[in-house]
Amino acid sequence: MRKQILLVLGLFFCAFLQAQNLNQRINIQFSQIQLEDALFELMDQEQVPLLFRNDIIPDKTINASFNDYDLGDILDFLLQNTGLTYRIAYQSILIEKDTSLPLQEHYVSGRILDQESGESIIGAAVYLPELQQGTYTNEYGQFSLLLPEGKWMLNFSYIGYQEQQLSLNVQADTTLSIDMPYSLMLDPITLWDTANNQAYHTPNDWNLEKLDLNAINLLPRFGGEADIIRSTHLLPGVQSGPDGIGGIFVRGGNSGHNLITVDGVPVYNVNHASGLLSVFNPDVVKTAKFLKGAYPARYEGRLASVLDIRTRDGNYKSLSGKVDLGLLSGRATLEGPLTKGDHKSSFLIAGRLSLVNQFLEPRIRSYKGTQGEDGSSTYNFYDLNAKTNYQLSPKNRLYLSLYKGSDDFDNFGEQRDVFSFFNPNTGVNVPFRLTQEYQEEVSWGNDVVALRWNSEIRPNLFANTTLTYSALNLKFGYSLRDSLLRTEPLELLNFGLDAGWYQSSIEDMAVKVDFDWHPGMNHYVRFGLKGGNIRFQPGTLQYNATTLENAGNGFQQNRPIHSNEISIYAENNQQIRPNLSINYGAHFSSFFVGQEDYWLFQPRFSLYWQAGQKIAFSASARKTSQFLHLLGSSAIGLPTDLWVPSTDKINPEEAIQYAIGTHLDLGQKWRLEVEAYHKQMTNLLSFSEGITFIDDWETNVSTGDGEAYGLDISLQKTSGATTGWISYSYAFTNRTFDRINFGNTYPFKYDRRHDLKIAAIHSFSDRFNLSANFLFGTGLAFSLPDQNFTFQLPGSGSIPINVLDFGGKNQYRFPVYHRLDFGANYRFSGRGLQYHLYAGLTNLYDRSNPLYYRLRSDVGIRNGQLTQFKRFVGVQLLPILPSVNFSIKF
Amino acid sequence: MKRLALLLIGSMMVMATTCERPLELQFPEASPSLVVISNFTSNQDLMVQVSLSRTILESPGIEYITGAQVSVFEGDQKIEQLELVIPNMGTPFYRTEEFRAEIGVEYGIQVLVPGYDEVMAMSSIPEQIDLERVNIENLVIEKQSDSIEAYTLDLNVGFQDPGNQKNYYHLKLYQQFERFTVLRSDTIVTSSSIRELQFSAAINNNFQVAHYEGGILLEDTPFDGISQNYSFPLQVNVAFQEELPGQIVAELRTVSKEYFLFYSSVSRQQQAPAIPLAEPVIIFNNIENGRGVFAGYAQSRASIELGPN
Repeated sequence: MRKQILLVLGLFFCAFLQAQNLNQRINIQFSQIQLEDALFELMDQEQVPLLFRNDIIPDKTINASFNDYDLGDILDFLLQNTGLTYRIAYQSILIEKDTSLPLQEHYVSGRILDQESGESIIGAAVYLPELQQGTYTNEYGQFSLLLPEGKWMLNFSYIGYQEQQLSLNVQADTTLSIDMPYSLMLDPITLWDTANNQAYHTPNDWNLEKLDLNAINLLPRFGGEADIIRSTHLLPGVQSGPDGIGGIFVRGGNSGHNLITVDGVPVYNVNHASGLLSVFNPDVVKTAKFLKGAYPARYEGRLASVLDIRTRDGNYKSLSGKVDLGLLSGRATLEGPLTKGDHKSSFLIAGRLSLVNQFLEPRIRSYKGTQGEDGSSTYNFYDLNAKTNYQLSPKNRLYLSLYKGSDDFDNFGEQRDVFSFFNPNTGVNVPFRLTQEYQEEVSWGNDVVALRWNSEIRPNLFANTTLTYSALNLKFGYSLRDSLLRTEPLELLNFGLDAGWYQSSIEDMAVKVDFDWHPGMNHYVRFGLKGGNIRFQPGTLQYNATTLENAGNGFQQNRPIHSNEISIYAENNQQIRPNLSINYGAHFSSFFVGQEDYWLFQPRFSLYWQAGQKIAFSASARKTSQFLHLLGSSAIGLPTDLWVPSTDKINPEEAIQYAIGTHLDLGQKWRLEVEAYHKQMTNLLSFSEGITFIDDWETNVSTGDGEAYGLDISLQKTSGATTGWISYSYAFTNRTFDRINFGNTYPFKYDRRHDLKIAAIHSFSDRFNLSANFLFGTGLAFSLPDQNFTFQLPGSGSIPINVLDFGGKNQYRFPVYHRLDFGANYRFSGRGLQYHLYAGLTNLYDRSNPLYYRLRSDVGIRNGQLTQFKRFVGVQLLPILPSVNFSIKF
Repeated sequence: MKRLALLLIGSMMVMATTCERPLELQFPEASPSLVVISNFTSNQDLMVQVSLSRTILESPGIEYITGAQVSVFEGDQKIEQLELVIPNMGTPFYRTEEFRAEIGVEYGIQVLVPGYDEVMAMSSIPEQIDLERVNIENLVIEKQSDSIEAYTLDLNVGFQDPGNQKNYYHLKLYQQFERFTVLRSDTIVTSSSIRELQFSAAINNNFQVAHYEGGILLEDTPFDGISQNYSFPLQVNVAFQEELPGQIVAELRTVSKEYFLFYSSVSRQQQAPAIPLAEPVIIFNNIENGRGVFAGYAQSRASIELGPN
């Protein structure tokens, strides 16, 4: 307001004063004042009729004294290096921009923060309506724009936040800190948000899908537990086992083909309870990006997808927390500033403890009782997240994040049989007692550590230097005891003990440096390098026949393997025309294991063409390779799955994927996306048939190829009281392995031809909404022994054996999978606390979706004779299940 | 060790099993088909067993086909129709009377049974590879008890694998025992028996499988064209008051691909843990319109005496 008034005053002067002679001699002194103030002093003290727009006057401090100087010399001095010039006009001296100079550009950079907590916001949009261009904040809430000098209107927006506007006069490099207030009122309910959903898009991010945590919290939850991994099952092109078991399977890939990172560190086991829940505590997750099409070169090679999870920093401004209680777990989170008031540091600590054992243990004890056993099973898990950061200087920040999680499963029982034999010599019954005891203890867990130095080298160049550690450990101990006791007279007749210990692990340590450079508007360059060491212990077994505790003098089955990896990458994201953006780059990796060196070049390319106001097309091609392989010996992704490296005999797995897609805006509320893809995978690794994790993996694996192609369609309703989406995939995927199915091609287990997913949320008010999702898909492929036969070599006298004949591999299909889930959310607040009550039902109409089949034998009477009947029994994991969750946030 | 895998995976499935409930399943029920089993080699009768497969829900048991018409062909030419043999002990089978297979010739077998599709299969006998070495090293005889002597030794067996061709082998080892009585200070052998050496499934890998009936199946991928020497540490327990250790016999079968694939898959399946969630072992089949195997092999034998002398 002040500047506008002064401008009027300037014009007032110019109306009454005569034209000035630039040779006028002037005495004046400026003492540490701004240029604008200096000009006003010229007008005030010397009656110089200056005419200028004050918004073009840059910040510049003047400290000079002029004794008997020409007015022209003084103006030359004042305006030097400002891009301004002057001339006589309208009987005044008009100060204006020097159009003979090239228009200067300056960087506008900064961070976008949550107003309440001070946390940086990842992926927030910075938009200039005048240019119809903009950018996004990076993983640390930083952004950078190169803007011509002048006055610009900047819009800042992010899902769930009130849009902010800022009028900025750009005359020099400028650093901003934008606080955005959260607004529950403005929640757009969309699980994933593609970049082209914005009013504009950048070439940086059109391939990614940002999972909206708010929507994940509102959609139906299994056991009341909002879960990042389970939410990906609702995306097109993403498969899972029945009821979410086994992890995620993207476009024909297996679960080891997904790069899942937390704060940039790979996590090797993401499941609790084989995938019913993930290891990611939803209360600490800030953002989750999911990429399954083209992904940029900065992501190291995995054949199928990338899930990039970033955790929250913690509240920079005040102490806050959350307590959360559900049927499956209880959670607590505490966060706040390390030093109150300076907004430079924060901490966050969150823990989660399973409660599932309360329901599980009695049920299994009862089940074992029906089997004549005294025993049970227990299952517990916990995870702990801790994170802290400190601002070393305005341009440097240090982060330390830790994760530790563990699952523990115990299974134990005892069976006693009492019987007697009649001794004809003595004429008495001799009583015996046979006791069989067993105990198994299984535990597995991740440890993840990241120490990161985030720095702004220049306004348009950010760097992150990270030390990472990620480990996965599995331990399994068992003991079996058999004893035969004659009870009268008491004598131990036989005793046997079998005890053993199995363990496997992977340890990954790395250092990496990532640079994020914004050389110009809509131009982003990322590059970096990484060096790391991975230590594999893919399974050792120690055996002792005396005690479990001393099981140390056995043998080691598999050799430990050390490998080293060095990789560099560079990617260029650029809007080459107003309606055409490209992203190209390459990831170059080298892997050293034993005497073998692998060098792999992984080019990536994608483009986005805004063909019209409401229609866009995209195309992509990528090559990805991975040196790490996940070997599973069961069909459901148990923790016994082994991570193993490429070796001199095992080549890296590779995939080449091509995809084309279109994006249609169907009015303001609806959006349609279609993408077709084809992926060819080579050097895939699997256990050979009949092999389990206990065998020597190196000599019992098979290599092969895979193919996946299909069409992913999603129709999204993005605003209104009812929001949600319908996604449909039509897909094919198969496998050809040299030592599986005798080299014949067979359908991959997750070869779902049709896959339909519907998710909807209806908001009745700010406080109350209902949600539902429905899944319908072709049954998974599996092998069923349709026949059996007994044979004996003719004339040999050998013992006849019975053989199960499956025909070919995966020739059968599970029944069509479908399930309806329902949820209701009620949010309210009072006394400074925010409450969220969730109630829902999983598998609302109690659909029996089998997890697997087994053959069960029953005995019954047929034609008056005792006869054995066999039938297939489907084992169902999730019947109709209620779920409740209540959280309090302060 | 398979037991360990069974324990771990099985115990973790206890949780799921508690949720078990019978489901009405409508899988297409495959109708029974003819099962044809035949291994053949040179200078021996061709023997074929014909039976019926059963649906998986039926109890084990063999239904032999005794009314089949079984013929052997060379190319399109029918050589001989096999005759049914019903032995007093054992199971019925079909046998040639005149026909003797030759190495390197592809033969076909046809089985016709009323009510079933015509069954055909083809195979041949590969070139015979002879054993070049069978010898014993490090023999130690120790008395284990008043009645048992333990012969601990390393048995070396060697042969030359021909290069630039795919070869499959079935290496079998037998120990002969001779029961004796002592009559007027003379040792008189009253009977002789052989026992086949069984290998543990722990040795299994992609190129080596313990045969379910004994011996090991080998694929020459790791040693194509290289002379092979195997050293087997053995311990033979002899009831020295009743029997004498006889010869150790090594038999090297050079087998057809179908022989190797069928028996290696059957052996793997027999040894695999019975876990519903485990990936299954698919059984090889080279019987068109049926199940089973028709496979040729060549054999060579060598032996060495085991004893203090």
